[in-house]
Amino acid sequence: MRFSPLVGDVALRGPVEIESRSGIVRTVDASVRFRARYPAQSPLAFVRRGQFEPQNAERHFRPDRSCCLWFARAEDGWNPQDPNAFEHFLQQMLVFFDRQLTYDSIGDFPGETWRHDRPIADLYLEERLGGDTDLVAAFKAYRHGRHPRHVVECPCGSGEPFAQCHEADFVDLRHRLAGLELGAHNPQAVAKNE
Amino acid sequence: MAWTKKKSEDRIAAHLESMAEIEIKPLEREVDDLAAILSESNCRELESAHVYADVSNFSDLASGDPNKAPAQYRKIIRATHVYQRVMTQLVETLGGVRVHFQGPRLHALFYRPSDEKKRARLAVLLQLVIADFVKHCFNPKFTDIADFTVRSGCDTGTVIGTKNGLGGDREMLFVGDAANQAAKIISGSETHYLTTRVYDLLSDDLKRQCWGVGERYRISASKEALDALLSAEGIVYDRDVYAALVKTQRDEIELDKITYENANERIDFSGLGIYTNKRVQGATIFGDLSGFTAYVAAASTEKQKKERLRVFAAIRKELAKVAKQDYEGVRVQYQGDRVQVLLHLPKGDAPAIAEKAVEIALAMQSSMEVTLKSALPVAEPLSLAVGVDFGWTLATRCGARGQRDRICLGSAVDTAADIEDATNGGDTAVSKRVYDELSEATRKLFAVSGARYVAKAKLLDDLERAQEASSKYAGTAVHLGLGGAASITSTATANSIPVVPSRSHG
Repeated sequence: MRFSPLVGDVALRGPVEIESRSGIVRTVDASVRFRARYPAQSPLAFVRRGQFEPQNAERHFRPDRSCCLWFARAEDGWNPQDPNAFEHFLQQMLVFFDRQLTYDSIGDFPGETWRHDRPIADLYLEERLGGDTDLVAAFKAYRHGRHPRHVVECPCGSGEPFAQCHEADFVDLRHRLAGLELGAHNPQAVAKNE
Repeated sequence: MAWTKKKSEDRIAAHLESMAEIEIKPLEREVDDLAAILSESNCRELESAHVYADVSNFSDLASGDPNKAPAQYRKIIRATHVYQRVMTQLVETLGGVRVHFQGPRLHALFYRPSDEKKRARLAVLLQLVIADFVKHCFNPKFTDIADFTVRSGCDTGTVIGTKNGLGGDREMLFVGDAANQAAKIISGSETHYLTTRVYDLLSDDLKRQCWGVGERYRISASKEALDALLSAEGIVYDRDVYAALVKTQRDEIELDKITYENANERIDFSGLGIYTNKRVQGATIFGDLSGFTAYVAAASTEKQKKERLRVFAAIRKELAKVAKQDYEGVRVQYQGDRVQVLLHLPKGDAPAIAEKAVEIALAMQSSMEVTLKSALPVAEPLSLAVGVDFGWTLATRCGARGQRDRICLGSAVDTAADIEDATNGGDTAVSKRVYDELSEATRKLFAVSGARYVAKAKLLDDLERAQEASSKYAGTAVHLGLGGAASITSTATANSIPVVPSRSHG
């Protein structure tokens, strides 16, 4: 890949080769853009127009045509504190390209993805809290300052005090979902805040 | 065993290294045995008239269930063998050369005499004689089966002759528009067509037997008219003699000795003949080089022609080896710029055969697009059209000693040929019979198009990805290998690292 300075950003561009079991090599013309706030913000991966078309949400491209490798706030997303974060990013980029090649073959994006029919923040929240609607509602209240007292029973119904049960999760979730609207799907806001 | 890029590259390199320099010379008409002088590197340019004659109802005849009517099935096999033997004699009586039989379809050519009008005349007379022979000599001696109906096509022009195979399985091949068009203009049931090129060369007595149909001419002649035409040519065609010949050949064959067992191992055609046939459940694959005739015709220098024939030889050899070496298939025949393959193992396992047939088809496409074009960039304008069908198929060898053709008979053979014919270069299509046997994962590669299913996939890695998709991304780690190119596999390889795929949302 070659270095290509852009105004405000820096990019690496070049061919990425992916080889199949039988040895056939497919080339993806890719670029990785480092935004001004890197590493606080993750890099963005792009492929040239004409590859993996249409580059839309169904194929897990954002409106700016960047590759959506993950929900950045999730555990498998970008962690600026991780010294291997960029290596992790490149690995996921390669896997993403392989999944796109599979999509080209069979019309399906293989493996687990987040659904598109609901806001990602809501989906993530529900998954973290095991789908417990009481807990989800409690978190939403918590986020708006209505914190349960530490000694109160945890809203999950375990009987344990909140401080010893789900408070750590709530704190972590509040941090991860900071700035994201729950119940509103705004992928541009997500990309901007990643 | 399956195809890999490395194996294909090595094979192609070895073949190109071993190929002698191709020589193309004009054919000397004094040559009696065309097959003896032709080889892969020893090619001859010849002006010739070509005839293809087809048994139009053969598919129906050969598709009976021998379990329900074994005697009838044997009669069809017997009739086929006699038909091919006597037809060969007919061709030679008129001064022609039997190139080969593709199933029940005869390809014959006339390269002598030097007068092209005379050659065209003989070729057209052959068409009329064939029609007459089948009606008056052959069918009356085989009253225990449905009548054969024949149709034919004829064209003339310059072709390049070459040869493949060894010993008793010699296969002459003729590359050029005349050979192509003679086959292409065939249609209907008992109709006989010729191109305008042929018509323009005919004398008035023959022209009177023709009438225009679109861009071709149709010909027909009564017994009396045919006799007069042959007499004018000094050709002796005695119907009683030929009828007796048919009867003799028929009676010499002991019906009860005809066998058609299934095959536990890969069919070896050298062991087959009238009494030893194989009947298998198999996939027939036809791979046809699209644009090849025009590609050769467009060669403007001798050097270019030789280069293109070299490409042709390399492609043919590699496609056959894909089937034989990588997948336990059987190369049945080369038919001009087309290769016919039969896949019948694992025995009785229709889903496995169907999957393997698709894999062979895409492996052939991969050889064409990835390795052959890389080794031979001049092959860039060419592409492969592949058609596949599946069903009970009779494999045998027909003809006199030294002139035996490997043939496969059955509706799957005809359907695979029709599917290939309807498919564009670069594409692979299968019948519903094949599609229905495929796994869910492999079916995702296909989209319905009329009576066929056309693959969206172009190369073998598309199939690999389809088959691996659900297991590779089942929620656990994939394995990322970083060599010259990255590889993402479902199982660990040397120096690979596990990566748990993140979840995209877009």
